[in-house]
Amino acid sequence: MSEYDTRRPGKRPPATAASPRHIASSGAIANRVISLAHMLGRPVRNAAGTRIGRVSDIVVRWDAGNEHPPVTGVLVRAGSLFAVVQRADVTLSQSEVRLRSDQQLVSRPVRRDDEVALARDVLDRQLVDTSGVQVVRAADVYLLNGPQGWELAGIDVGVRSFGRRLFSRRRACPPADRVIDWAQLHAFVPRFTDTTTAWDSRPTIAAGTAGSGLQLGGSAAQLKELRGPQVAALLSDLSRHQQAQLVAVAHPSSAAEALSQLDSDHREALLAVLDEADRARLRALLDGCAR
Amino acid sequence: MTESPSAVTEKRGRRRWIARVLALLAILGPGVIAANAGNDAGGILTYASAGAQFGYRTLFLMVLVTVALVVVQEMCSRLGVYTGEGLGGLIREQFSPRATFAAMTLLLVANAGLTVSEFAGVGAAMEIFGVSRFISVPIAAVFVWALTVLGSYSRAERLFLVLTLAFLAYPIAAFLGHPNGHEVLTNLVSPHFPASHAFLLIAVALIGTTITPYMQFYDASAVVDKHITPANYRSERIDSVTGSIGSNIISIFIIIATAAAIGGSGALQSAGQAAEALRPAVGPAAPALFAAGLLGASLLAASVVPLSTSYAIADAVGAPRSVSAKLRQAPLFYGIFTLQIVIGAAIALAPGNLVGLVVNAQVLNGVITPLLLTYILILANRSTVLGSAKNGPIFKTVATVCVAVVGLLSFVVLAQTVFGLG
Repeated sequence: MSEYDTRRPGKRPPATAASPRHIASSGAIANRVISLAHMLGRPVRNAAGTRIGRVSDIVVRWDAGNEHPPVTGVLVRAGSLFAVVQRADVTLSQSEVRLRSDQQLVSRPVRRDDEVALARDVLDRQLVDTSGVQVVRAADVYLLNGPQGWELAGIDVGVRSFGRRLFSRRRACPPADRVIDWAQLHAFVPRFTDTTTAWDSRPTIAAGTAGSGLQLGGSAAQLKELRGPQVAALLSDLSRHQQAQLVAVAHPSSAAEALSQLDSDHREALLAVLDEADRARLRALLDGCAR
Repeated sequence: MTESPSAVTEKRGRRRWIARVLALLAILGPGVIAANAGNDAGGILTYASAGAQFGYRTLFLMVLVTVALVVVQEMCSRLGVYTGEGLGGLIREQFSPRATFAAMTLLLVANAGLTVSEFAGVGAAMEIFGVSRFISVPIAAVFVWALTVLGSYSRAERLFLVLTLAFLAYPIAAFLGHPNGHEVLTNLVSPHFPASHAFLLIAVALIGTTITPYMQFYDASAVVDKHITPANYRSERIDSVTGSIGSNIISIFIIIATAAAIGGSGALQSAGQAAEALRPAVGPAAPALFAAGLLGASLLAASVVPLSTSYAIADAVGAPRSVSAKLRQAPLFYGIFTLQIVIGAAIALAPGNLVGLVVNAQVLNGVITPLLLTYILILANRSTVLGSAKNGPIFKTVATVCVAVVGLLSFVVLAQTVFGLG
C-alpha cells in the first residue's frame, strides 16, 4: 500500500497507510499530482507560450514488471491532427502542458501496441482491485511526479470525484475522494494487433473469442493469488469478455472453483468464449471436481 | 327451468369463442404469459383509458408503436449480448460525464414517474375492494421496500406474477364483448391521426408506456443475466421480437375489450370503470379479478422499477450495487431505491383521480423516451461498441425514423403543454 491510497478505514479493506483523506491537496505532494480528468482539453503551448493544441490523452507504457507505468508522452490534438510529444520534451502541470523547445508537432494518427492511452482505456472503465477484491470504475486517474518522473499513481473511484467532473475543469488538482494505488489494480486494456490502429478506435471484440480485444494489465501474480470465491465474487460485476479474461489469468484451480459456483448456462457461456487451451484445462479441472 | 332458444344459441356461440380463444392461447402459450407479465399498472390503465376515451381509434397507432418497440428492444438486446454490459455502464464508458449524468437523471425521473403509477395502481386496485388509498399505499410501500431490502422478494414475486394472470381474461373479453369487427380492422390498418390535444396526449402516453425507458435498460441487462452470447443470439432475437409483438397483442386486446365495453365514454375516472371490460369474460367477478390483476402487476413493478433504476445509476457512477450488500455498504444504491419508493407512494397519495395520475406518468415517460432512445441509437450505430453487429444502413434508417417520430410527437405535446396550445 503506498502513499497514494486514501481509502477510508472500515469502508474498503485494507486501511490506508498514509490515510490523509484529501491526499492530493495535502502540501507534501499536491504539486506533484495531476488529475487526468481535469487535465484533458488543457492547452499545449510551445516554448514561446503560443497554444499549439490541446491535451487529448496521456500515454503510458504498459510493462508487467512496473507497478506504476511511466508516462511516455502526451497525445496532443491540433484540429484533426493527433501528435504524440515525448515526456522528455514537455513540462506537465495541471493547467497546461508546455513544450521545452520550439519543436513542430509531428502527426502520429496511430498508436503502438505497447501504449495505453489513459483517458481512452482506463478513465470511466471497470478495473479489478485485487487488494479490496472488488470491481471498481475509474472516476479519475492520478499521475504522480516521482523520482523516475511522471508515472501512473492510482485511480479515484469516489462518486464525488465523478460529480466534480460535471462542472468546470479545475486548474488545480481537486481533492481526492477514494484513491486506490495502481499497484493493486488490473485494467482491461485494449489489445491492438493491428499496427495501424487510430487513436479514437477500439478493437472490436469478436464473437466467440475470449477478450480478443482485451488484456488484463498489471501483475498476473496478484490475480493468481485470488481464491475461488474471490474470483466468483469479481465475476458477478464484470462483463462477459472481462470475465473470460479474469478466468484465463486466475490460477486454474481458483478459476475452476469459481466456475463450479456458476449456474450451468453461465458457466457454458463463459467457457465458450475462452481460448481452446484454457477451456480444455478448465473442463478437465471441473470434471475432476465433479468426480 | 328451460332456457330460451336465443339464450341457448348465445351460450353455444360463447362456448365456441372460448374454445377458439383457449386454442389460441395454447398455441401462443408461455410467450403470452411472459408478454402479459410485462404489462404493469401504467400499461393496463393507459390502454384501458385509450379504449374508453377513443374507442378503437388508437389501434393504428399501436401497430406503429409495435414496429418501433421491436426495433428498440432488438437494439437493446443486441447491445447487451455483444458487449455483455448493461446500458448504464455502456453509457458511462461511451459518453462524457455530463451526458452520462443527463441520461441517468432522465432515467431516474422517468422511472420515478413509473413508480408513482405503480403505487397509484395499488391504490386504485384496493379502492375496488373498498380500502382507502391512504391505508393501502403506505402499507404497500413499506411491504415492497422491506421485501426487496430484506431479500425475500423472489417468493412474493411468484405470487404477484400469478395475480397478473387475471389480465389473460382480456383477450377472451375482447372476443366475447362483441366488438365491431369491421371497425377494429379498419382502425388497425387505416392510417389516421385525429388532430386533438387529448388524442396527442394519449398517443404519447401509449408510446411512453409501451417503449418505456425502464424496459430498455431492463432488457439489455436481462440478456446479460441470461448469459446469451453472440453465438446464440439468433434465437434470442426471435424471442425479443415475438415477446415485443406478443406484449402489444395483449395491449391491443385491452384497448379492444375496453372500447367494446365502455368506448366513447370519455377519460377513465376509476379503475372500477376499467374493470367493466372484463365483464363479458368473467361476469360479476370482473371488478375483483381486475383489482387482483392490477394489484399484482403494481406490486411486481413497484419493486422492479426502482431496483433496476438503482442498478443502472450505481453502475454508471461506479458505486457499489447489490441487494446482498448491507445498507451502509451501498448507500447510493439503497438511497435511490428508497427515494423512489417514498416519492412514488407520496405522490400516489395526493388527492385526485388515480387513473389520470397514472396516464400522466406515462406521458412523462413518453416525453423522456426519445431522449434516452437517442443514446441507444448512437451506441448501436457505433462499430467501436458493436463491431460488425452495429446497425446496418436499413436498420439504422428505420431506427432513426422511429426515434425522430417519437421525438416529434413528444416535442409537440411538450410545446402544447408548456405554451397552453391545442
